Amino acid sequence: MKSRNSFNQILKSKGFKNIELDNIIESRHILKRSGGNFRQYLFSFYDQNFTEWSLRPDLTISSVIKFIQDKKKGRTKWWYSGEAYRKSNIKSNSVVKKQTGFEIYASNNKNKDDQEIIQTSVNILKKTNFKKAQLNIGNIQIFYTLVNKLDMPIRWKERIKRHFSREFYFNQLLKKLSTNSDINPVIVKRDKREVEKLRKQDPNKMFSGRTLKEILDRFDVKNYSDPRSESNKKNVKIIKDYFKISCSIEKAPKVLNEFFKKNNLNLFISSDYFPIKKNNLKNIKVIFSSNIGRTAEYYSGMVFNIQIKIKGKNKFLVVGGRYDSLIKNLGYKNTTAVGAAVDLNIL
Amino acid sequence: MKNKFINIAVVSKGRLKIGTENLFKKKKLKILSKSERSLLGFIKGYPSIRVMYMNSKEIIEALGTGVCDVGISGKDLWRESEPSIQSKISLIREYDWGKSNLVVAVPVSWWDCGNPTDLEEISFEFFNKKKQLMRVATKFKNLTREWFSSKGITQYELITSLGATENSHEYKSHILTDLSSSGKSIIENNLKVIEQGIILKSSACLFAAKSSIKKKEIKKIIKLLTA
Repeated sequence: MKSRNSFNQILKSKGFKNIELDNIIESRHILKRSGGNFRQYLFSFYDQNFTEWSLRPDLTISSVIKFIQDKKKGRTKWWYSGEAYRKSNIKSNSVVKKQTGFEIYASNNKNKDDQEIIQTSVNILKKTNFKKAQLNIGNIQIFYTLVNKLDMPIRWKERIKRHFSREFYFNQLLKKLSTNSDINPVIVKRDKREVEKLRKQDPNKMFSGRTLKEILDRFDVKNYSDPRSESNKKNVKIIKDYFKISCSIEKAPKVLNEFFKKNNLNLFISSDYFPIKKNNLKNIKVIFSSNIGRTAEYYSGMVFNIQIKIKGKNKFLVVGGRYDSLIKNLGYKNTTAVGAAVDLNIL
Repeated sequence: MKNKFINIAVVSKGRLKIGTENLFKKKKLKILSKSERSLLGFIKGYPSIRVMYMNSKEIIEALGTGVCDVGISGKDLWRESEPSIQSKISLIREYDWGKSNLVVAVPVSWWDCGNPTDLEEISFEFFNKKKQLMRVATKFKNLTREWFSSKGITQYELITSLGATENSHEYKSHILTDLSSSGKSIIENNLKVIEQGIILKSSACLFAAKSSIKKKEIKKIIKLLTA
């Protein structure tokens, strides 16, 4: 409790405004953000008007909805604390998650605000009893840029970027990519014959929610424009090797640039790209890790976590990052956002 | 009541009823009931065994809640049931009758959709371009969700279907998942099963309530129905 009060003091002193968040959210907002698959984790119910509501599964979504409903304009800094309710596939996990969150919306200077969120997280860590910690920083944009530079079909690039946050399925995708196993040549040959007959029909004709044009366009991209490539095995190796990169933050630009050069990728990363440039921040080791930020699908740029050890096990006290597209995806104007959440359950 | 009798639940109508009757006949077990319409019966020579005719889904519930000790129903219904029910039931034997597959079917006219990877891409097309979720009609929400999740398909909305699922893509959904035994109904409704689109291979199964399985009399019945 003492440390929680001191967290609040830090956030107030840094200019974050305390806000109250709604406990329940219309389910459609959550599904819009995370897709129908996420429904299995929700505690949801209907009201008298048959609108479906859910207990907030995390505080970020509540905060973003509040930002949209309040029609906020300009740089906004706020913090909140409370419980989120989410089912889990792991039996031992609690369904109640206690968190303190803090965010900066509509950044004027993204790098500066990234720094501020990380710095505030470190200050919070300093108010706890954890003596040793590691700050891991990554950037999803670097991965996206790397994928865009690889020689492979566009739809594969999109697919790989889309599933960055679903590690299990992501690995299955890489396997499919390396074996070219998503296309059955026998079926494609048969389908090509049938499709030719359709080309003379009205392109706007609807087939279960899709126009004929949409179906044919995708068919053509899949079977004509995206030739099967032998270089896919090489691409998979590059992606896997990229995820192995973990080094001190000072060395990150050098290590990354050497990696790009070795793989003949015309890419260059300068040190300006990283919000923290020192290996040590208030006696906390700072590491660049290419393989973090894979727990939430809405992260879009810088990601970080503060890793601590409890009874010999690694835990994350703070997890955060940039989610610039989330507000737009929920139907509001394009607004940048960066934030972090402190896991109060482990304190 | 439960202590007095050993309760066996069997399906009250359809393919599974015929299969169960054949099984009992093969094992020389004769079900005695007051009339053809009676939903309770006994097995000749076994006065402590009571036969209860139920809906196939209800059998799973009855086993999970301990109302019945042994039951014959579909594997699909057991796998679809809530974890709290499923975990209280043991699958004893999968029979080679009452077979059907739970499949993912898309409109035949979706020529670009041949496998789960295509479906994943199309679901994102709905989400990104049309700003809506791909609608999936099904009677099997849990199994469908589990399969979709394993294939990386996240942008979809499940629509409950209580019957005639095969034609729901004509008016309320975009695709569907449904049981198919011969595949005829799928084809007749302008649908196709995608490659690797079998969610579950189901058949009639003998189940026992975990709370009853160690009882001597139950073991005897199980032996009779599995020998």
